[in-house]
Amino acid sequence: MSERRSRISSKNRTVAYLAAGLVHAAIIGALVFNFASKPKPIDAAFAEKVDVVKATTVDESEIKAQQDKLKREEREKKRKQEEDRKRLERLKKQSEQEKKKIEDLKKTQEREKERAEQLEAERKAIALKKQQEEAKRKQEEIERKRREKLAAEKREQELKRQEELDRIAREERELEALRQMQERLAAEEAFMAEQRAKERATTLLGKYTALIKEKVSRYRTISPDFERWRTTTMNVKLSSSGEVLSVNILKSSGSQRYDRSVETAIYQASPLPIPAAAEDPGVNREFQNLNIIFDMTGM
Amino acid sequence: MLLLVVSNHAQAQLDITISGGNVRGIPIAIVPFKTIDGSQPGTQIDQVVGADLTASGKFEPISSRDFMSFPSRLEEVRYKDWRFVDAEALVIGEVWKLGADQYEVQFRIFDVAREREIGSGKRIPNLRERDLRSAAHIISDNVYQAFTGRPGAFNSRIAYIKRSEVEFQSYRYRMMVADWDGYGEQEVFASWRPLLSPSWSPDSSKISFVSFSEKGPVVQILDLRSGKHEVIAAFKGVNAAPSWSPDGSKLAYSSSKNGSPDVFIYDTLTRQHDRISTHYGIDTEPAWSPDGQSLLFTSNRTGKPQIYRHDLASRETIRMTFEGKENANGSFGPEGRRIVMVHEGGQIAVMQEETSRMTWITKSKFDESPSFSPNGDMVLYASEQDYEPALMVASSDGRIRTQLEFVTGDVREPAWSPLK
Repeated sequence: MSERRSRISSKNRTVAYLAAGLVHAAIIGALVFNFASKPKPIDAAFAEKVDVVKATTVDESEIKAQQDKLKREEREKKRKQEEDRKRLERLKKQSEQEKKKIEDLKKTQEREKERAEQLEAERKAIALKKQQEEAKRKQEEIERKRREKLAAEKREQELKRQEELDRIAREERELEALRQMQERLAAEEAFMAEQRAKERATTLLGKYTALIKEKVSRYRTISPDFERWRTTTMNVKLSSSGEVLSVNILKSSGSQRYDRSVETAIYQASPLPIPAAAEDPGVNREFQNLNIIFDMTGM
Repeated sequence: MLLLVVSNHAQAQLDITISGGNVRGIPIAIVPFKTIDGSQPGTQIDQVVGADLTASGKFEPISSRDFMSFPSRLEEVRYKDWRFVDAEALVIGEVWKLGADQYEVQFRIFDVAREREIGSGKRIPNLRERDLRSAAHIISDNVYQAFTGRPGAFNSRIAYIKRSEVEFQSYRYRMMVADWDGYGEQEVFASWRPLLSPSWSPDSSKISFVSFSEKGPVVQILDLRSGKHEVIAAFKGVNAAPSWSPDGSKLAYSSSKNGSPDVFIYDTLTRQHDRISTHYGIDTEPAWSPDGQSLLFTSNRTGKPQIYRHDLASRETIRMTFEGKENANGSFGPEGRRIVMVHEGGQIAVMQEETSRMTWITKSKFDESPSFSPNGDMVLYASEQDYEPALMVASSDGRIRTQLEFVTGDVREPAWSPLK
């Protein structure tokens, strides 16, 4: 529906434009014609007046004839005058009309001019406005650019600031990491030291335990008739240099001979190989009180 | 930190488990005894002691070539010398010659491991030269007791039958008694007919044995002091294998007077014979348990010889041996938990009564007549060495075997005496 209306309105608009064009063309054509034909009637009137003056010297028949003639002439003249007046009036009217037309034209022209001026003004205004807008735009552009620049600068600054912050944060993080690493290293170092101490203690323990086993085993005499299932636990007190100070049965094997043989082995093996106090006082002390378990079940 | 670690460790008791060792005798240093005031007697006491202790399996003498010093007195003993040779025990002493045939032996025993003397030195006075071996055995017993806590058996004796061909195919059977190591044998009985199965009375004063009369084998008792002998079982048939009860009042033996051999008990006081087994098979070789409550005997009631135990109170008989086809001639150790026997007709084996676990003393084919030493640590048996009969002593674990080299000839049927 709206499509159709718009199609109709656009057709009407076309017709209107064509009509307006014709009117303008007609007006402009009329204006041109008037200006071209006007001087001709004015020259004819002047030529008639000159003939009238020349005819005054003529007889009475002649005068009557002349007078008739004069009267005819007078009437003619009057009619002519009337005609002239009428023509003049017509002319006048015509002239007035022309004048009015001219005035109208003038008015139209003025209006046109005005309109043109107005248009010009409008154009100018538009141009100005455009100019102004352009200026404004330019100004705005400048402003925008300035703003943009500012923003960019700001952004840049912000970025820089952020970078700086990041850098600081990073540095802080790195510092923290470093600190943590140092802490970890320190902890690790402490742990390693502890481990080393433990390891050393364990190594010492392991080493000397093995040595004690080896030495006591070497001295241990197992009678073939010993029952293999017997075990006995002896508490052994040693001097700091490993001399056997005492051997006490903590858990008897139930066989005096068996107990005695292991006790003998311990005494035989005296001094037991233990780490020197100078090497590790703690482990040395530890070795000074040990339980030796004799077990043949694995043999 | 270190202190912490150590204190942590110190919290826990340090435990060391030792399972290694040497299956061996106690390493012992026996220093040659110093002879004071006289020439060296024929008997080297240290060598006799060494041989005694070695045969037991409980000791291993260290060669005197390794000794750093040769002390004979307390003040001369330096323990480190004996630690150096890994001795656990040390024996030193002196032989004093006090007269023409009068000696005194002094000795000391040391616990090298604990670096102390055991006891305080002993004297064995009033010895003739031929007593010096006995003195050495006394020292051995002392050492044995000191280190094993059990009495030694080196003063016990053995009896055995020796057959000698006097003329061509004419044999003299002699019952001999000697030191445990076969030294100093003496004839205690002799016969032109075979002698068998000597068995010591618990007080070692008598020996019962089997001799042959015209009718056949008879059981006799010989009094060693008086030399008197008395037949106690001469029934029709075979009378054999006598065995003294632990209290010495009875003798168990086997007799076939009722047909097949059965076990009988003879009461030396009432002179009564009680029949113990009534089986139609052969029941023989009775042997008393140390508590006198039961008898072991050999029976072929299942076809092949096996060892049975008869409880005297309940009169129940149970089979003891199941290992192998044949087990015979069983007898208890002094503690009553082990039985020594002839396995498969020629091997000597010891069985733990509770577990029936067998330990083979020998794996030969010709070994017979086993008996425990009175302390149970050795087993005496008859064997063959280089196709000749021989008496052997083995440690009861079978590890050490010693031929009794003083005993020569055609010797059989050995029996170990009780301790005095």
